[in-house]
Amino acid sequence: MAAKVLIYQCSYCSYLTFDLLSQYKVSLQDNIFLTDLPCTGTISVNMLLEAVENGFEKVLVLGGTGNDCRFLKGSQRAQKRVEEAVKILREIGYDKASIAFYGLKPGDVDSLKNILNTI
Amino acid sequence: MIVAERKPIEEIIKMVEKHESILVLGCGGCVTVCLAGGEKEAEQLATTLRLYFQKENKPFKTITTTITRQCDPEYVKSVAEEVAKVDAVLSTACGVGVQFMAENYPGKWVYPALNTKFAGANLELGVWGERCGLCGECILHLTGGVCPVIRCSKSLLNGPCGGSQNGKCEVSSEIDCAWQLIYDRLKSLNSLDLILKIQPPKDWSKARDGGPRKVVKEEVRL
Ligand code: SF4
Ligand code: SF4
Repeated sequence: MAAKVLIYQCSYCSYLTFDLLSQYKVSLQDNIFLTDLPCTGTISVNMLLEAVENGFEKVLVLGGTGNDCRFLKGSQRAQKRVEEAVKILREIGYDKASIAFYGLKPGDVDSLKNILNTI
Repeated sequence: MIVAERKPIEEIIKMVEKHESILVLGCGGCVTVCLAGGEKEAEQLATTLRLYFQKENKPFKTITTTITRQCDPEYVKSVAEEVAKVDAVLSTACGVGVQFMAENYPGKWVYPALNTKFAGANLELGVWGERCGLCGECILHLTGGVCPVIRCSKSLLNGPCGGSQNGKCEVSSEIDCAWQLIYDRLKSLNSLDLILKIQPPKDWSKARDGGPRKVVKEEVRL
């Protein structure tokens, strides 16, 4: 069975990109669950850890890049929280799941395709 | 506020591993403000522990709740039901909260999830600095509002020592020399005469040296 993947996406930066992706007739596999956040900066370390606890083997956070975050520092905050969650998994020796952050420019379909290809 | 930080997770795991159910009890006071043991941190710690024991295939349940303060009896008593349901309590309060919970729940282990560091202030986002040594007899009116007891590495009351260099303490270039700060501050207040007054030895019996202290406010006692 394919690994369960949870993607938290920024409803501004990456929502648009996913939308474009559908125009390319690329559809998401059934093992991928997509959740919108008004800004990835709202994510907490606990949300990431709970996703792992609930059986997601990959948890991705898709925010914007440094300069195009709609809420200025939301993506940077998300990145820091992902780093903290990764550190916690390492500290407790939990290697059955991974958590990662990707910064995408709105509309960057190629990068999104690359990310989806790695999961 | 009291400033604390979470203990290393291995240390916490060792404390709780003999139990199958714990209450992770957050505190809504100082440790919420210093991002060490409020609701968010208590929940994160509970999830971290559940994940660890899930990986170890060991049964482990958590209840998580946060009370307004763990240093006031009315709040501490309000979690009696939750405490009764678990083997032990992991408190994310400062050392005061941990002890107060233990005093109120004899027969139940109450473990400290944090290392309580100091009485300090929020210097910038994510940075806290020590400001008061809780000496029991404040002398900030003599030093322009800079505490020599805790901010001078040697707690000198008649400083500076010979190690003060370019405004920094000889203990570390990261530490401002408290006596330089006192000098600058008194100068800006036109009160440099104060620095020339010799301070007599401090009465440390008012501090920790006199044993554990108590404050009694008769007018509110019934
Ligand atoms: S003089 Fe004593 S009470 Fe005043 S700030 Fe310093 S340690 Fe605290
Ligand atoms: S250099 Fe200043 S702060 Fe450091 S020990 Fe000497 S007087 Fe105290």
